[in-house]
Amino acid sequence: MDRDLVEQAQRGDRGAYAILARTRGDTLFGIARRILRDVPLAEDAVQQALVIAWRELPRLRDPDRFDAWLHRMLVHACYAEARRKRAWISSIRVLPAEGPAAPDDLASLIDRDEVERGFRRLPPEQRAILVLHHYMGLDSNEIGEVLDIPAGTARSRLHYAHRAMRALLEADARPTAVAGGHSS
Amino acid sequence: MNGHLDAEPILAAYLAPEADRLADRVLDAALDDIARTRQRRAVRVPWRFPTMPAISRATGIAAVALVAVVGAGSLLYLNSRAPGTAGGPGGQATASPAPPSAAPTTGPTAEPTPGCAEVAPGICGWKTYTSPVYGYTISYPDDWSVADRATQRWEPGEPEDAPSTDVFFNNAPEGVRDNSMVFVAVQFPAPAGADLGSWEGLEAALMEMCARPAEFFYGTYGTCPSEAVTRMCLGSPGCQPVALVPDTTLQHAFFGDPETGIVTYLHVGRADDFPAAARYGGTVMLLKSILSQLGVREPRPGEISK
Repeated sequence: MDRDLVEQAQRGDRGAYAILARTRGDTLFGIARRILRDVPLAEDAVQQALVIAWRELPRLRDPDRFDAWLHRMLVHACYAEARRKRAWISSIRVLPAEGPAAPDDLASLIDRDEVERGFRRLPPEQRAILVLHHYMGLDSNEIGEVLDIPAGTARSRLHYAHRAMRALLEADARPTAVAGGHSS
Repeated sequence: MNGHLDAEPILAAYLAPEADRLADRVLDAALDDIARTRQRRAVRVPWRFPTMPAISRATGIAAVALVAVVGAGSLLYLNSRAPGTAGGPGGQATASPAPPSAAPTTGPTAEPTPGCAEVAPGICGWKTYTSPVYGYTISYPDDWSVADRATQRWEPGEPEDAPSTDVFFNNAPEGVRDNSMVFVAVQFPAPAGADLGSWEGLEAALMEMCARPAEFFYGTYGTCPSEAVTRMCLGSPGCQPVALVPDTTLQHAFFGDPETGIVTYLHVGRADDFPAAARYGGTVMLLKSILSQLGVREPRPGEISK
């Protein structure tokens, strides 16, 4: 069914494309919002991706791969939005992580704010691969298909993204532990 | 701390699916764009991401970087108003439909925009935006859109993606941002003791801000003015100082509220001769057009000493 719609859209049927867009809009937004951590930016990225996908759709060789292809458009749109945002405020310095309230055990230290802070510090490319894996549930092969990279490369990048995130979380927690802060 | 933290379950919980809903207006806007967008011909090329990167990696970084920003945005209405009352934080803005003044004096020549009666060079009409955080009202070209809304005040040293600026985009054709322009508006406190009611005081504050990037938003853009500042006036009668600072990639404008010590800062990204800005007579002219909506005008003879 979707293949038919994709083929119709490839031939210039805007109605068919509108159906495809409407049925995928929420998922696209979910991906973009998690990568960009910003609703207006995510909306912008989705809009941009949908327009670009429409324009480039005749070049999609395999209609059955439409979703992966569309996700790639979106991920690139997210990169563009992230760079745009970064450029505005390119030299604003990131505050050193303030000593979070210091619990005794690490696990309780990892609250949502800390995860958020750490995630935002990752480059968009690492955020994207983590979102594709944890939000979309894609494995390395599927991530490779979306990002147009070999599965082994995708696996490696996923590993490094996890490692980077872990390092950020631990770094965030460290000052507190050293300081022996108080519990929240 | 022996942290052998397992990031995977943390991320799994953090990124878990939840109810996400794309706003109808976003989808509608995309479909509107699509209605005006022609598809590329089917060329048998590998399945690659074709669009933005091609131009954008290099250009995109620059472009984005530049991002132009037209900071000025259509005029933060903020400080605007009468001289001496230029809006401080929370200052109420009322979009003042300003005269489409801004007679171009320098820069590229704007070409008439087909199919509209221009209210300013290259601008067919204005839309207004009131910042919920800063309280100012800005006018921006009616074919632009609000790309980002400030949801918190700017604070020194905040993360780069903190939502503390109001940003307006020119809706570059076909969704590609390489030709995009932006203007940005934000407010922040001037250096302590700054005399924002005099030219000398405003320009001294400007120099101090650009030299201390960790403390002032303007400083984050780096360079102190290397060219002469253009002096303009806010309000009439009277002339509250407004400084326009030309730059190679950004055009800046400042004015402050002498009572509150709050500076309103706008900038338009892009060099004055940026191709997409030609219709506006260049980015300097665009900035002036936006400022005109806030009540900023060319000084009259004798109003300024410079």
